[in-house]
Amino acid sequence: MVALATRRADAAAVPRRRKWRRDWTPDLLLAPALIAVAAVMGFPLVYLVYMSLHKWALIGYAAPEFVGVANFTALLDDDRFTGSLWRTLYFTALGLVTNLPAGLGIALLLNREFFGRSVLRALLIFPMVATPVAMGLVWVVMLDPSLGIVRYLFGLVGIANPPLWLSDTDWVVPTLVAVDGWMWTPMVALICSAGLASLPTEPFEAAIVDGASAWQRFRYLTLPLLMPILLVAAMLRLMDLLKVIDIVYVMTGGGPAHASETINLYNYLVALSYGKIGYGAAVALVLFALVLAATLGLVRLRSAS
Amino acid sequence: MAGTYTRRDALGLIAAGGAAAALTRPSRAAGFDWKRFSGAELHFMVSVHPWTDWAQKQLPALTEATGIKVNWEIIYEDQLRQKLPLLLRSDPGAVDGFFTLPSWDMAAFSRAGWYEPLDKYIRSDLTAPDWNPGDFFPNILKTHQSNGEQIGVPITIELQTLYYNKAMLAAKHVEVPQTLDALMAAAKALNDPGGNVAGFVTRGDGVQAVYTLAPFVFAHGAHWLDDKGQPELASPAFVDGLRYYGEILRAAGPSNIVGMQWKTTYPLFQQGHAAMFTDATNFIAFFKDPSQSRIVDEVGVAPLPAGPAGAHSTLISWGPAIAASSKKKDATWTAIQYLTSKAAAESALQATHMPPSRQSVYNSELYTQAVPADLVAATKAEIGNAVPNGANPVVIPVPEVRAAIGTAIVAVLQGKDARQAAETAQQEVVRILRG
Repeated sequence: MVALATRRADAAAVPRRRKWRRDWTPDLLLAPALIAVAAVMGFPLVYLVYMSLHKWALIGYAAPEFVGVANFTALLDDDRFTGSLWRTLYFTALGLVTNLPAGLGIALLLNREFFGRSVLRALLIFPMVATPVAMGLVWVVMLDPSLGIVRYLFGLVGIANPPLWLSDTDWVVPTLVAVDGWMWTPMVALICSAGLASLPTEPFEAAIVDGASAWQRFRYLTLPLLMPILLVAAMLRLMDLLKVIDIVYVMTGGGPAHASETINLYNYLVALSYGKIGYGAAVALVLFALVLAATLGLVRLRSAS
Repeated sequence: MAGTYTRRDALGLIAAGGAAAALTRPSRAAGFDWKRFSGAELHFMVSVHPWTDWAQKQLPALTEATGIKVNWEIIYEDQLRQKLPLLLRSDPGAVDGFFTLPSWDMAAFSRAGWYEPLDKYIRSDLTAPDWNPGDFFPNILKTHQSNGEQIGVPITIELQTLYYNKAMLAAKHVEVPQTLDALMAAAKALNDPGGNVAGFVTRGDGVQAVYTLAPFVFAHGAHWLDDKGQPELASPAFVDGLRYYGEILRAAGPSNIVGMQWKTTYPLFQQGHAAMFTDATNFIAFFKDPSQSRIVDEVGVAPLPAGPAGAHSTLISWGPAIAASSKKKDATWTAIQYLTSKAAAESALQATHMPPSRQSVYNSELYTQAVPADLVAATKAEIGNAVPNGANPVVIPVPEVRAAIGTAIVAVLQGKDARQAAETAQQEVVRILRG
């Protein structure tokens, strides 16, 4: 009681000015960071919205002209845009359903003690640190039926005429997903590996004592306990897959006949190659909204889990 | 060394001096005052290119000869296309001269009024008497003409030609084809999928293949655009050329032709997996380089085969131009003239190994002794009938129009109907040009 009374007395003794100052200090300390974020992220976003409302040619013989939401309505009639949008979702879905199980599988494998484990773990890093552009070019040569090794390897297992990976409009996206997965599945594996190492051992020991099978331990212990980590890996992959451009640009340029054109590549072509900055800004905003919505969805899923 | 070429030989490098050699004084003509604009300071914006690299090394000599100081800003081609228009529009006088590829830039730059017409300079006393515009191949000068006015000075020539593997043709007793019919027959005869050899290869990636398609539609009598600048892609001649392109590549091309870019087509020919190949003349360097080519001694070069309307290669060239907004145009012309004189062309040839646009230099031993004789013969045969800036339609939205035409090319490579593909491309290009 005495302490409480004293504190109240102290509070009453604080002059108004000091109270005002104490309230604003945290905001002032945050201000530099907020201003920096506003300058490097807020301003470009606002300017992007401004550009998307204009007919704006990069090749500058005409001044930008305000057109309202015409760029956005035009997107609906643009087959290349809608095609690239669906293709990006297909690319992303295919990437997630292959990369995550494969990454988790590799992580579970690496979680056991065996000869050469550390070497294997180091090797996993290689595809990730290699330049995507250089790797893309190497894969183009490897997949070439005349010059590459892939057809030869298929021949060894009795498949004389494998698909024409990058030349077949049905196969080109799965092929690019495979190359992308070759580069980035190790990242999923390393994240899962770290997650597995941090799991408590007691529940597993208890489960063994209770006679749980390996599958039961995985299904009812490992997977639920690892779920937050898996969702982080999924979020990182999701953002990368939605924005994929580098390997597509290098390996196919979006072809054949736009069959591998992703939304980010289309955005680049429209804005910087075709010089339609305003229209490109509209495409960029759609991509931005897509990445934001997908990420927020996963964040919600993560907090729910 | 007999019988083998080093890459340098192939490229026409005369080793001595080379890039470091400063050119000799361009004009000995009495009475021409090179120092007339002494003291001027100029700003040139140019792209990364062997010629601009060579020119940069000549700037001290240029300043010594003319008294003009040149700020030579070299940036990548894509960046040049973005930055240059901004400066030309927003800051008159900021740029005096720039580097241009008219097949790509001319429609937009002409419409914006960014090129200074050069004829009045060439005809005036601002031009040294021995600069001699008549020395340039007439057709290459046309690549830098807009509405009949010279707007730039082409510095090299780039044509397309037919490459063939001499050993493969000899083994099957196939003559070097001179007509499109003979090319089709030869390609089918040489095609050997079991032996992993394609009879004929050229680009199959839509956007890129617009360039290699061009000679085939020209040979059938087609044009990209009509006299009014409207697309002419659904004409019977264009459809025939497009159909031929699809047929020969489907019959005798590699199995993965759809989507093949030049970076995957030339290695096929270079590694002995294709008997014939068409693309730009400068690919010879890849085939004559013993460190990467398996066909150094087998590669032959011939003019492109003729169709019903003859043989018409494409002709393009980069070159310097004067910005119409420059406040020092006379001095800029003096600098451009210095860098495009005959002496300069000889020096540039030694440094860059690119085919020179001046006939006197092209015909000199400096060039003819350094490259294969059949390449010289083929390009000489082609240059008169080549289509200036024929690499693609000369329109403002070149990349977008190329993508639309490219879709038609991929369609015929996939076995779809050429007429329908051409008509779709025509509609699409009309829509794009309408804006």
